[in-house]
Amino acid sequence: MPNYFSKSPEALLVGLARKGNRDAFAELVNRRQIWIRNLMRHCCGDVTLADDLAQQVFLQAWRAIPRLQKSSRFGAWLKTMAVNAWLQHLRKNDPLRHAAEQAEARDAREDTTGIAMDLDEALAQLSDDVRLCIVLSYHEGMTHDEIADLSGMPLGTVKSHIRRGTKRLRKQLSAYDDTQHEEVSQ
Amino acid sequence: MTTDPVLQALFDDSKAETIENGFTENVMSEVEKSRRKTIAVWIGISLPVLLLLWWVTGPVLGLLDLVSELLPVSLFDVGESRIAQFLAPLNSVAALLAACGFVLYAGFRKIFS
Repeated sequence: MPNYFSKSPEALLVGLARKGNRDAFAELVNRRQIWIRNLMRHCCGDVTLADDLAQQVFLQAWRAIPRLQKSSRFGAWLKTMAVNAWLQHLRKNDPLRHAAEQAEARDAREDTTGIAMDLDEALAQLSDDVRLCIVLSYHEGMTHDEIADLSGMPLGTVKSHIRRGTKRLRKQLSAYDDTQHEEVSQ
Repeated sequence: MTTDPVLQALFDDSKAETIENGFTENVMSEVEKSRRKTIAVWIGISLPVLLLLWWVTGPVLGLLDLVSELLPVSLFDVGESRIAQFLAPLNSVAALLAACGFVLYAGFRKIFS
């Protein structure tokens, strides 16, 4: 992997990638991969599927990057692409098969432990729409309006999904309450 | 917008747990594969097109030669006088074709407009 781009600003890398520079794009993937893979993992609850989807997102980004108008919008543009990839995956796949895949993935999961695993399991209990709203709110720090814009759901639905999802997650992750309360209050 | 601080802390803590495991290399190898595929598709399309062009160039040039010889042929024999030279653009196959084209165009517009 190239390391001469490691200290370059992202806008420069995006500009070079738009002109077809693969090393610059590789550095962008390197910088953004953890974020996108985490986002996808929280959305689907399956590490392997999340990595496949994240790979698709970056491949799609490579094909579409010459059309990206503003280099500074790269992060938001990539996030939109990731959410769309997830929504497209949901539309294409049968929810029952998806649930079975998730159950298998939970059994087979080896490379995530502790908080991430518990969080993924709790998120997997939520419906797809509720989970997406929760992930975009907590993982991405997006406002309700932004989530409504990105997902195409009405604002009221987004608000009720987040309220309901938060309640369910708090209930399922109640074991973390005491320890987290202490850390948050410090 | 209010977020639950405990959940927020859990989400923040879970971010650090994803490991690199050659993800970037995999993406870049897919990028390379996709580039090769695009080149192969372009070659696959352009080769038959070039072959087709090479195949039809001869007959098309022959046809163009024939047309360019046919267009100035006079419709009526009016001799070699100055008037004949003056009327040559109108007294030709090209003029007849142009007139036919104009009539067809006018008729087409009358019927469909």
